[in-house]
Amino acid sequence: MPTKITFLPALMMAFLAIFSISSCQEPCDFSPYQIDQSNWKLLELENSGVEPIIEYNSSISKEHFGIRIQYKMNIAGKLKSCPDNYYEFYNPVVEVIVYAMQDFDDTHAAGVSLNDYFIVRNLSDRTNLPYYKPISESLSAFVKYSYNSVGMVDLILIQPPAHQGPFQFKVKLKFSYQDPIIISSRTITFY
Amino acid sequence: MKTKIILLLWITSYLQLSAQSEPWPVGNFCTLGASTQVYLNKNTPADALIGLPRSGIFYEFSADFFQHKRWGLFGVFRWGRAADRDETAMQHFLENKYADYFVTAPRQNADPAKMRQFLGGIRYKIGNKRLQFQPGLAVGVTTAKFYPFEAAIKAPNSNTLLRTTATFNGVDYSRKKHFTLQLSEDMFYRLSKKDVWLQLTGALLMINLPYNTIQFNTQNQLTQESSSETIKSSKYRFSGSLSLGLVLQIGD
Repeated sequence: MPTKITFLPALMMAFLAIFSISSCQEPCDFSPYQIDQSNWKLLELENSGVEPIIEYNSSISKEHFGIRIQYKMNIAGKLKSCPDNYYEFYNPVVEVIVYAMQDFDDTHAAGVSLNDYFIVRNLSDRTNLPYYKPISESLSAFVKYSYNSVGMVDLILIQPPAHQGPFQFKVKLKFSYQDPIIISSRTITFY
Repeated sequence: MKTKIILLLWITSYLQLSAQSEPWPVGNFCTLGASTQVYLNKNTPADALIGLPRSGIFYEFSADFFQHKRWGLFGVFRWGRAADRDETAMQHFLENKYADYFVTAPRQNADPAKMRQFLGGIRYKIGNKRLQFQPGLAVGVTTAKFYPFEAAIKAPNSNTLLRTTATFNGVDYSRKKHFTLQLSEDMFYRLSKKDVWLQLTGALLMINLPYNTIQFNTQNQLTQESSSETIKSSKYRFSGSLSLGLVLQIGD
């Protein structure tokens, strides 16, 4: 009887070992996909409906305004049949500062960071329900791989300005290795 | 009224294995079968949100130990689906609650809710070699597992966005043991001398519901403020079953 008891697990282990060897595909060294981000753009959003959409009109309500940061992803390096989500950004974003060219309210003059007034989400994460976070907690939203090679990050304005009128928003992106860049929106009119 | 009169028809096929040489039903038996339970409670709004059906099909395995002339022990293990995966009720509920908002389709993990019952008890045998009655009493536990619902609720003409999660018993999924009582009455009628028996079983089950509380946690994505609301269902759930089966004894 004891031999039977020890024999059974040994047999199972042997099967497992054979199965794991046979299911092994071509060797994969897990070199990550190298992703380079370029063509950074800033688009204005109108969020009166279910989801934000791009607004081409220059007159937008301040109650449902947002901006979309769009970038192109170039995948460099050798592609292997390794896990699809295994990627690495060449030059990841380390800091994001949103500001306006006009005085926003009493405490936020022109050029002062408006990060506290925006919440953010990455749109490539389509499988999840919309889930926004404060900018300070979600830098990862700016370094997300997307299959269609276009990254989109929506920033929704949660605190509209005290007054109406023309506004231009700018976003300063700081990177690990390269010099920071500044992207601008059109000058829009809040009503 | 119609639904109250619904009797559950429960046709099971049984395979009885006995190692004993004594005539059935003295001996040890294993039974494998299927049953339908019909719930006797009126469904509450909370039950509708969970997706509790009016009836459920369960598979069961039971073991009977009849070493005494009259008294015997038995154990039952049942498993099946506890609820249907139905987002419609949740969608309607949220649409009514947030009438002026856009409500995205609530999502739930794809697995249907599973329920398991473990019961053990005693049976008493009366009758003769042609007709037998076996009233029984069993106690045990029911476990059920439910996945939470999630939905996003967007205000029109505003950036306001709410995210709501409906959980059962206040946890991500509920898998607690809940007391269950079963009263049953088995009737066996011998069809032939070769120990082919017809079985008719009626049972009444009382389950201390494992899913009697739904908690909605809602977070405003703009302000990060959270609120919660609880909806209660009935504490106990009663279900009845009636079964018709064929019992075969293999062996002597």
